[in-house]
Amino acid sequence: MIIIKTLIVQLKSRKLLTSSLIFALTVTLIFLSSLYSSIIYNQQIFEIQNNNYSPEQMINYFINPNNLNNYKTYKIDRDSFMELCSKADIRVDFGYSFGNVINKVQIYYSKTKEPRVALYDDGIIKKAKNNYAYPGIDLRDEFKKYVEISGVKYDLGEAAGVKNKTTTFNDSISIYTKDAEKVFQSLNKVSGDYPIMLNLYNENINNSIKECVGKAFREEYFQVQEVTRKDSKYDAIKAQNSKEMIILIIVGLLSVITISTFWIIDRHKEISIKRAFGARNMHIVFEIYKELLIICIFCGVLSVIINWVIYRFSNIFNSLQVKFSFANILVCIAGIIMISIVTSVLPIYKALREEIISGLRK
Amino acid sequence: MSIINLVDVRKVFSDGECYIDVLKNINLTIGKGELLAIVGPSGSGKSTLMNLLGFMDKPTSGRYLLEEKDTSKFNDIQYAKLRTQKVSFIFQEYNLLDDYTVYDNVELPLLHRRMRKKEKKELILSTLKKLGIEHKIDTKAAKLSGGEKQRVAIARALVTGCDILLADEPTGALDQERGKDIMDLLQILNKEGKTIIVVTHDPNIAARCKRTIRIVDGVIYED
Repeated sequence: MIIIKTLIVQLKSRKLLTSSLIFALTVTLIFLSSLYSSIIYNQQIFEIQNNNYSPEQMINYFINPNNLNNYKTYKIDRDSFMELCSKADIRVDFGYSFGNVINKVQIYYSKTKEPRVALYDDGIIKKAKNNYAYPGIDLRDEFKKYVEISGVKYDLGEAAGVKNKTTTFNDSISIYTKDAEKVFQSLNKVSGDYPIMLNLYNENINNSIKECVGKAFREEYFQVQEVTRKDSKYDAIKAQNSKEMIILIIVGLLSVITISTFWIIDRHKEISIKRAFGARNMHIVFEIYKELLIICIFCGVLSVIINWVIYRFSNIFNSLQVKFSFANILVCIAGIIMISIVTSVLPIYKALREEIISGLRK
Repeated sequence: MSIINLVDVRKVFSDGECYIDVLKNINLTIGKGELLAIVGPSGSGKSTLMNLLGFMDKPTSGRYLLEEKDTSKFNDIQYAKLRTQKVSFIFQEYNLLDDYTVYDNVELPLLHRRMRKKEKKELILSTLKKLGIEHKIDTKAAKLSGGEKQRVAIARALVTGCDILLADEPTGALDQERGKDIMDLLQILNKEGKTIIVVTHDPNIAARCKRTIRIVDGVIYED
């Protein structure tokens, strides 16, 4: 009841909303700061490794068709590839009926990196999820159109898998053809900005793309492990980047400290008025922390909304691997609550030590 | 019967190097139900005396007897209790919480009292009615006129049921007419039995009080 009453009073005074909004923006700042630093981190490692990449970089590298030539002769078994992709947190789909692959198409019309699944049958999408696929589209017709534009001719017959020339497309693309390189290049032309990800299917199908991906991952990945162990520069850069990340987070937290300090300083007069009318120190402390807690909860809700909106509607992260992380935001909020509580101790103490009269004069 | 008794009260302010004797051996007795004006030039120590009387500050030396109990050795918690049960303040600049409504402002001294919500609400309403501002109950303090603000401040002081009201320049921020209204109100309250101590510069206000003391350089010059 006390909390609800405080909430109502605070809402009436509009302070709650303002403070919560400021706190929520700070959470977002911290969240994005840590994200940004992790991007810097990845990029720098990418550069220093001299083409010896971690699994996620390998995948990123691979999905760029310009790099396709590098992988022509490699081999890998399915489980090893799955393991690598799992480490890279990248979804890979191994179809189980490649022979009828045109009936088991995956198609993603998405500008985000998050895969979306469409259910389909006989090449026609029956049911789509989250508008990332368009029901009623015959994939074969669509693809024919694209390959015609790109000037590459392929047979997309019902036994395409058997003929080894089957292709499905968009930001998740499965290709089973000896001319995969050309297909990739043509798809890249027609799919524009859409990211492309390779799907591997039944391991019984012997095709060049599957082989080349596997080898690339296996050999290069283990080479990365080797380099990681041997190269002291790698450790130095890693440490440097970790420092940068910590600095960014500290900057964010400092802003929280500043906000919570000013929040209390701003209330010196209010505190003095309450004391002048008999409120004891413990009442004031209890009240401030109660409000702080309510603000943090509000801030939590707002920051989840803000982060979700940024994630959902903004294109700024298209080129980055950003995921909406509820857990990360919760960690940020918990951090903010802790920091706010700890850092507000001194200002509260000062406010309570101040003479009532000088507080009233502010 | 005396309600307040100050015996050799001194108040010294220091900034580490300089010591300023703001109040020098003040001896003052105030009877129950008095309407007392404290007058004097700026810097004479009248506000400091008021703060001591209102338990918002402690004397450097001397004794402060309230209803014959020596409060000089009281701790902060006991002082806080006195501020809510024995004396109440009316300030020149009202000191209302602008973002709060009239009701919330008047409720302030009752927040930490064990009272039923209904009982509390009735008390606040009757106090506001007495001061003629019950229609402003849901208005934010920031939207009130000066006179209304001072009435809310008086309501806040009255709602505690304290016998002693300390008013520091209660009409200082008001025009003459509204100032007169407030003084009328204080006189009515005095007639109802409240002990009222008013700090003022205004000789007209002082003239309306039953007793006037003049402070000059921290000493009671005239009583």
